[in-house]
Amino acid sequence: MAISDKHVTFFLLLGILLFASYQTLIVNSTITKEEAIEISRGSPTMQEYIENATEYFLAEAEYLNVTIVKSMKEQNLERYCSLPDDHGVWEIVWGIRLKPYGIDFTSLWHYIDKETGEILLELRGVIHT
Amino acid sequence: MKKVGEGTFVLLLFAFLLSSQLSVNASNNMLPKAQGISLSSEFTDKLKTLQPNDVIHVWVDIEAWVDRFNDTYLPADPALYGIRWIMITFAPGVKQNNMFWVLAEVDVGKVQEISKIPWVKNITLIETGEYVEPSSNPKIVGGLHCAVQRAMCEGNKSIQVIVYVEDQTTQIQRDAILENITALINQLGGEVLKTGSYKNKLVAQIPPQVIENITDNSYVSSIYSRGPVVFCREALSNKQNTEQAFYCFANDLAIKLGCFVVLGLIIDFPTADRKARRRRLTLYVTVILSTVFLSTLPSAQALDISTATIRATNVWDAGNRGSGVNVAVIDNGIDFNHPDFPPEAIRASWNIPNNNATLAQDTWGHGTHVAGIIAGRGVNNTLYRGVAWEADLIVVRIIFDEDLEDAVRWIIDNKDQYNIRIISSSASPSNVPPGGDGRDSPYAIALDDAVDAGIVVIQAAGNHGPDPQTIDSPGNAFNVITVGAINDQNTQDISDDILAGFSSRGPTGDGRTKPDVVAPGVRIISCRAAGTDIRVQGWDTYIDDNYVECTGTSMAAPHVAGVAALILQAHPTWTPQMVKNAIKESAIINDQHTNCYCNKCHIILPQFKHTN
Repeated sequence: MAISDKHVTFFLLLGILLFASYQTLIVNSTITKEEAIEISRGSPTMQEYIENATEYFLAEAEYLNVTIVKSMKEQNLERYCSLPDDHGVWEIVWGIRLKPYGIDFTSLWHYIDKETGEILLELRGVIHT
Repeated sequence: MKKVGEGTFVLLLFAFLLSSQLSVNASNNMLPKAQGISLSSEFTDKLKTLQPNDVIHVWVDIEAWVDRFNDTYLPADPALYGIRWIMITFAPGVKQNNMFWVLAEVDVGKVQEISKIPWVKNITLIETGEYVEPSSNPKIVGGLHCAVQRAMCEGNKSIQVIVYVEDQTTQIQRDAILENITALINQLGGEVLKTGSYKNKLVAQIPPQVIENITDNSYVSSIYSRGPVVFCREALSNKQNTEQAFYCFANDLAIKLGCFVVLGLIIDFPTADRKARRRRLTLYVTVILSTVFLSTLPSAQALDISTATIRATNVWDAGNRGSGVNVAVIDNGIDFNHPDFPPEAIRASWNIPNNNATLAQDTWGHGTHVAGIIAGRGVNNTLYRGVAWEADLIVVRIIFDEDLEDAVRWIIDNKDQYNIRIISSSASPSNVPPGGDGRDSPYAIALDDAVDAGIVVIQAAGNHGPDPQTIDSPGNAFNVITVGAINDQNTQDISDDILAGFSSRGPTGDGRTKPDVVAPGVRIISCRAAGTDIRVQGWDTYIDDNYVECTGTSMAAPHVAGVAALILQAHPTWTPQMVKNAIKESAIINDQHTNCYCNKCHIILPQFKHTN
């Protein structure tokens, strides 16, 4: 069977399309802010807080790029050593008012890998009485 | 109708404002002199009818207070001049050019002496109106009895009041109580106009004769007048009431301004040409805005009351305001731009999460509020001065549980460099349950170490009451001064103070008596960090851009930290144990607190007066 130019063009385009889809869907897949928030909300610690909260709110949902992560590690390597060196993370911060009165206030901080969605670091804020 | 010229109109406005204002300030012949001032014959005649020891209330005009951080124009101790400052006014219509009008309380015999002070430019007697027998009902406050008297004399069928309800623990309880009170008001022929955002109060229009029926309701904590209140002598009988009367006066002025706008709109506006109308409109809008501001001035309460409740004001009068004592505040930072914390008031700051001295700026608001209770200068409003408002601060910012121990270690390491004498902490680790034995968290152990290092440590007890054995860690630490919260009911009288339901109770897990003392912790007004909003659940209420009202043992602990600073100014060589003993011994046992599971619960009392 003779291979026409049309066939070559068709398969070439199909190949490019598949490659682009792979790149988009698999290799470069990243976690959106909304997904990061839901990952954080679904964590065992946050679920426990939600059960014991009179109110909670999202205080911050911010993307920290490699430069910021690097600077954080320079300031406190012991604390932030689990954060990656080559890509950014989502910083999700919750404010929580605790039962029984809603007077006690605390916060929960999650650092979520932008590429894998893994919670790399969880920090519990102190309770302000 | 003849047109009223614009110049004449503006002139009329000023004349009207002046006549309104000077109904309490009637002296155009008190011309300032280079050395002192001469009093009007009207004023001196009035003084002749009084005894030298009688107390009068006056407006004292003082020369420009140009440097807000420097009391150059104020005497070191106004009491030396026989002046008891009540408040320095900042409200529009009161502050004029470079003059400030100070509402003050003075002895008649001292007036001539005060008139000789170079920076006093005018003294005006406040006419207090007819005497009205004060109400014996403690729930009727803020000059409401005067308003009731006037309404009944004038045959008014109703007056507007603000009804405050007792603090409740849950929103459901608050809703139920408000429904109950609303039904009562309807039954008495009144009408509820609106409910407070945080369900702790409602505004109602009621017949004046049914006030007592409303106060009979056990859920009602107090009733204030919402409308204009006549000055009456009783309302000016003490500091608290005078402040209230000032606000009533401001509200009264607001009503007059409102009348002016209405008259202007009826008489003047229709006759003005199009160009003039536009300008008039601007004028009206300005007047209306001023009216709204004046009518919404808050009722005096909270920090100015709580400092008096613990009798810190007595110590101030003796010249002790915590000067030279440095207090480290372990919290989430401070608003460095707040006017009540001038740069010289903050000796150092350290950011534990970043492990450096970068600005420990408060982004939540808690630390700023706490710091204000300890050492807020009250620059914008002297009502909200901290307990030790000349003490200095070391700001140690923490965020995470693991920061707490590091914060204490940093303070111990830097104690000598910054002369740190006191730690105030209103924070607890999130992963340690209440009711422990004092060795249950590294933070508790570190704070005991700080006491061993010679630092007085004050810690909030926690908000897990009213059950026993609910003291938070590190409130259960052995040597810290653990502070529970009382509700001072917005009065200086300690006999009506009650232990706050939320305040954690002792004993500790190993049976020790805690808390060590209790202090005001309900509805405390203190500094607000710019851009923060920590209001939730009705516990925190916005006052203005600079101040916010908060509740919790977090607010009680810094009161005691301030007291410790006052003690250390008087006794700089005292050890932490001596300071703790002094605080506990100078407190009193309140019978109403026998249910607090701590054997002895204390209210801080005036014996601090003698520490000087």
